[in-house]
Amino acid sequence: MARTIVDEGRYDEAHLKEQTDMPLLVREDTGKFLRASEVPGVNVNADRPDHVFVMADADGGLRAAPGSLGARDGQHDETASIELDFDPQLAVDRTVSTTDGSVAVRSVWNRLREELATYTPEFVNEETGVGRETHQEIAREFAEADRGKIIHGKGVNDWYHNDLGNRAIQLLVTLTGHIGRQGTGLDHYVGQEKIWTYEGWSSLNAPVPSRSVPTTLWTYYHCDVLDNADAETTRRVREAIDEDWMPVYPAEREDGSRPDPRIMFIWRGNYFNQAKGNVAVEEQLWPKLDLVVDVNFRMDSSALYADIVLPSASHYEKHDLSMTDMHSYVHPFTPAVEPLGESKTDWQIFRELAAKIQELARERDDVEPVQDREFDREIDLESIHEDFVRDWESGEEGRLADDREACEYILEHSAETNPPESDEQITFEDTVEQPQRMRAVGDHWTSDLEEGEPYTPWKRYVQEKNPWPTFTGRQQYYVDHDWFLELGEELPTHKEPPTLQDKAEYPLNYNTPHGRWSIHSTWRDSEKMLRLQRGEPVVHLNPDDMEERGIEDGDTVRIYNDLGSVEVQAKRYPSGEPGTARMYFAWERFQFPDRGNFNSLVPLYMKPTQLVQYPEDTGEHLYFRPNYWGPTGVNSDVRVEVERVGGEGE
Amino acid sequence: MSTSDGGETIDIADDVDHQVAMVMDLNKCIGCQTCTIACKTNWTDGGGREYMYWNNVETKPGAGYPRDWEELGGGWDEEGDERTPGDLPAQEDYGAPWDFNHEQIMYEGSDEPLRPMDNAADWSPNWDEDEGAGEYPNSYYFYLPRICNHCTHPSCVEACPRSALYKREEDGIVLVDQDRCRGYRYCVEGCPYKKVYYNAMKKTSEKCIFCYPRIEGEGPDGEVRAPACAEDCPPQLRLVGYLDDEEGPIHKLVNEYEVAVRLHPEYRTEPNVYYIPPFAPPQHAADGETTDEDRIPREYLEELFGPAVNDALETIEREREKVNRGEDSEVMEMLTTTDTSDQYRLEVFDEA
Ligand code: SF4
Ligand code: SF4
Repeated sequence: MARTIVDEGRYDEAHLKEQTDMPLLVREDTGKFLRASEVPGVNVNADRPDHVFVMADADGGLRAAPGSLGARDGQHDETASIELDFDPQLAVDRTVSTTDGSVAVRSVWNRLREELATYTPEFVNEETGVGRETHQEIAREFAEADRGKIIHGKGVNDWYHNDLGNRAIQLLVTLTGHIGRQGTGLDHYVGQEKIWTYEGWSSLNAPVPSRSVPTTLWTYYHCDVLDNADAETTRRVREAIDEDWMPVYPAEREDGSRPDPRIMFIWRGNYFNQAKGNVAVEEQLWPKLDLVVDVNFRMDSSALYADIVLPSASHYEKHDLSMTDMHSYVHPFTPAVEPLGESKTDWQIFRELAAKIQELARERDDVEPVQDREFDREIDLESIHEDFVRDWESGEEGRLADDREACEYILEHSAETNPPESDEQITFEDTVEQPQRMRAVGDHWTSDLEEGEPYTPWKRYVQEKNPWPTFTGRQQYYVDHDWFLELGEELPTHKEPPTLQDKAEYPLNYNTPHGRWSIHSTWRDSEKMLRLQRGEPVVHLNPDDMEERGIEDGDTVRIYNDLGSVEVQAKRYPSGEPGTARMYFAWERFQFPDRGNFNSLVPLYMKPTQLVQYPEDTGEHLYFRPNYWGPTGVNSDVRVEVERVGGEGE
Repeated sequence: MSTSDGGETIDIADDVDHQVAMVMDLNKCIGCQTCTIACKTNWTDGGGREYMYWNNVETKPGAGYPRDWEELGGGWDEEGDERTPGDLPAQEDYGAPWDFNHEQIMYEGSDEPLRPMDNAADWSPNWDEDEGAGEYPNSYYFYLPRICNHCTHPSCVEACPRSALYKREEDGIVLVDQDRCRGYRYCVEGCPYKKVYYNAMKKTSEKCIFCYPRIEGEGPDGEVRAPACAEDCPPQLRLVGYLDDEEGPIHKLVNEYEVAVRLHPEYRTEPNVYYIPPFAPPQHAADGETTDEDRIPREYLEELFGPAVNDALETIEREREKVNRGEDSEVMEMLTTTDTSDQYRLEVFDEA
């Protein structure tokens, strides 16, 4: 589609020049962006001219690109601008005299055009099955629409090359300029994890610096996959950890050793069931753990494999706040009923654990405060409960004893719900009255809120011309990180999936998409819901594949590959693409014979490009942040074979 | 029967003041079964009702619930005055309400997998979910949510020798008087939609009550609420109100624009649940190109909704194009409103 838009001249040229990296020059010899520091005579007023990029103006003069990281103050700098006072050329192919002598350069635009030339209608049809005309028609319609928008879910993220996929999809809204105005953009919906009131939440959650870790990497590391993975991946994963691009805990000790994790608290998740590479989690990780505590309102697989289960209140038994990236309102949870049985709210559970620790520490009376290994702080077990319930901002003791007060604290300490320059404040009570639209936007928003209009991101960049929070300060499609260059992924490109299983031996693609019968694993084993299905896990198969294997609807089949084997019921599914075995995910382990799992067939696999920091040294553009940048688990790109259980000869 | 100002005739039963009605837009149904669970939790969770789904959602084409109900007869003959004989569904065609071995696995250390504790788990109310018909990539299916249609000419009522079934005078809801019912099951045979169920524990028949306590304002805060299946539907695809409310969207969609049609009108019970027929993307050719060919065969939709489906589809198509051209369309507005006071008009006839 991008090729059609570019070849047929349906792109938004002004947008590309002002808002994107398309006019930036790239050195042919190194593949790196040409930097202002390398070109004598480029007028640059910046602290770090080596972080300033170069464009050619209409007369061929070389100009510093405004808004480059080196010319602004950190990732976000509202005082800088990307507005141009010259007309840059998009198509550049020339030589430039640099401090290294004469160097051939091309613009990102020219490189992109070369890349796109591969995707002829024949090629697209061959790869995707989508008609030569059909995909071009869609491209034209999208480009010519007054406002165009792409909404997509998390499915793309299941694939190994998901970063390339996402970059390619995003490219369409950039080329067409469908971005930064009402009714445009790219909505990549992956769940309810958008915390608009981030400030208040992090002040409550971590008044002192705290640790997060990419779960995929953490699991990979502690399942000892590095001892078995291919050399290339292992080298890169180790480098990313050594360079501190991605954190892994427990932290490395002074002698260079790294202890195994010993205690695991599972809270609001079903880790043991949902982790990819389930076999390794059970066989490698679990034996390392002395204690597994599960805070849960269901008896799920993690609860069954935990040492201690602390029953918690469900959504409708407690006070809480709810927000999503789908809208700009805050909703409350309020208890419709009291927590059932002995269960307590999560807040109470953690609070009471702290109270018990404090009590025991005080009884012993010889527990020294623990110095944090990484941050400048002490953990004093003798006051840990008091610290837990103290309002850290006001110093008020005991304020945060209740969940509802904790919610109130978040609302109080967030610009969205308690704007600093106004006395308008959203209280919890207000949200109970009716959902409240945020009153103001915080630093991490990319547009202002407009009365009567849904929130649309990226206006600050597109309309107000603030630099984008990227290395170049523009929508950046060219990434000149060493790894991206080595792997040929400096631009979005099409790559064949990695070969995780032999195609001849395991002819079927194995997919585990989200289903509509559960929210992940929650309610996957609900009696009421199972009565409306088949009562047990099923695999959806195309009738042709079934016939070839002598399988009939309702038969018990074995799905297997080199990693594992699970038994499920076959379901006839004419809408499934031939060659695909689809098992909607999140069945619990205890729903399979021998406690198999849909993830037992999925390896722990991770794409190294998602472990980087960029720029390599300072990371303003890409750096680890939970739910924003880090490695995804790869659960597609897996191959299996399916056979009937109890067939002839058995 | 009453006549509207616009001259269209609004057919409701002679002996009722008003007639509740529902329009369901099949283009929005995602088959999530939230409505089914809402209904079950409210009304059929125990006491011999476990197997009943007063609201069910089935995949079409498909056998449905109870299995092959469309082949069991019932309803009226062509003139609409003689009842057509109908059969009782076999109990196994409803599917058994399985119990599961959670207890044994969670608390008694069983290594067995979680399974229905019923060896014959070979049919259930939604067994053929998502199967549909046709071949990849031109296969097709859609979801059909079904409740009792609270028919204007209900064959269930007629079938009962004890007059235990009746249409409520105030709103035409069809109910079973539990004191009069002797459990003969003639109504089960007589309903061509198989929307009356026999409770073997109580030995009486039971059915969808259109959540009448909710529409009468018996919620916890005394508020009027639409039936649970409608209010709990995530895409909010059901409009609820009275057929004879001339200002309401149901009357307009059914009688004025004729885009909402009846399921199996040939049964002649004159249902008061109406459907906006489903659209699907056109077929793909072998070379992956989009064709003009309908994906869901028109004959199939006619089989379900009668010949009126053709005009309905064409009108909707035209109205959609209007919107695409930037023009106003009352039809599309009614079908896409998010204003609950338009979706649910249940207080229009309340005395002021
Ligand atoms: S759908 Fe069946 S049970 Fe309901 S009113 Fe019509 S005939 Fe009676
Ligand atoms: S709740 Fe709505 S969308 Fe879900 S199955 Fe029922 S009618 Fe369809």
